[in-house]
Amino acid sequence: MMESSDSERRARLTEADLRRADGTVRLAWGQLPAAHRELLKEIGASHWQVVGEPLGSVVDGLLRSGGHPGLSRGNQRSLDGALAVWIEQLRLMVMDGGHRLLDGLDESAYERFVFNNAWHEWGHALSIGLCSAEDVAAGRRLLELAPEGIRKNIRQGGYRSSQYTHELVANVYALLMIRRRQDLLERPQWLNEEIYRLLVRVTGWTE
Amino acid sequence: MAKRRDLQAVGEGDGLDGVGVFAVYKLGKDQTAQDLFAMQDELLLSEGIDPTWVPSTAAERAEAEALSA
Repeated sequence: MMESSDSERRARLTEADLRRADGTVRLAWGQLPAAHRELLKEIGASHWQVVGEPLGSVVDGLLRSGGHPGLSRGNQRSLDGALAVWIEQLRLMVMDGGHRLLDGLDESAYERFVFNNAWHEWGHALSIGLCSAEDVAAGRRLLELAPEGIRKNIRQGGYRSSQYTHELVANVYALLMIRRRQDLLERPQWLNEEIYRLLVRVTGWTE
Repeated sequence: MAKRRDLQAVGEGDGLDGVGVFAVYKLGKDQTAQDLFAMQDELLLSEGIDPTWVPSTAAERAEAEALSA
């Protein structure tokens, strides 16, 4: 359950705030390589929704509306602090456009953060859709090969080891997209070759 | 390019029990957007890349609008 201050803050959200977030996600979509957009469309991952409420109840409602079982209260609570979620069953990315971490960001930081969140989730969609069971099983080992900052971020997120590969792909994918903004397409020096090959395989990343 | 594989087994998501596949993006409890940026900037700087964020251009905004039309 979110704190009352979160509820109060969300009560001040306007339609314009959500439109801003949605428009920023659209910009992030437009900056994906065309081939990636096509791949995401192919796997049914080209739709998103920006909401202004904690994601637990939103996702519960979306699942029930789609004829799926809803979420338990515990599962709703575990989603409530999330920035975004990719829901495989619904082929839908849902982003919390009223998340507390968006508060107080200047324009460029806001754009950067929303871009990152969107690219992260599309990285997830590709990873979940295209990683093999062996890739997922290798998550713990791959995480050890990741740069310290990424490793720490994933550990702080409290993910299960079965999620490490997907988190790794999503984190690195967002970083590769940032580098692409500066026309840098080759493997970064800080990225282990095996992780890079995984990214190339599941996202179709090309130099 | 890899082919889409079957969906993961129920419960193999990331912390949501028995409800199928989810991929949740969350930062650590005390982390902020600036912490995330700092981590990313450190990696970019390590290879000599200016991490200064390049905001979207007017042309990109127009392209995004066209894509959504």
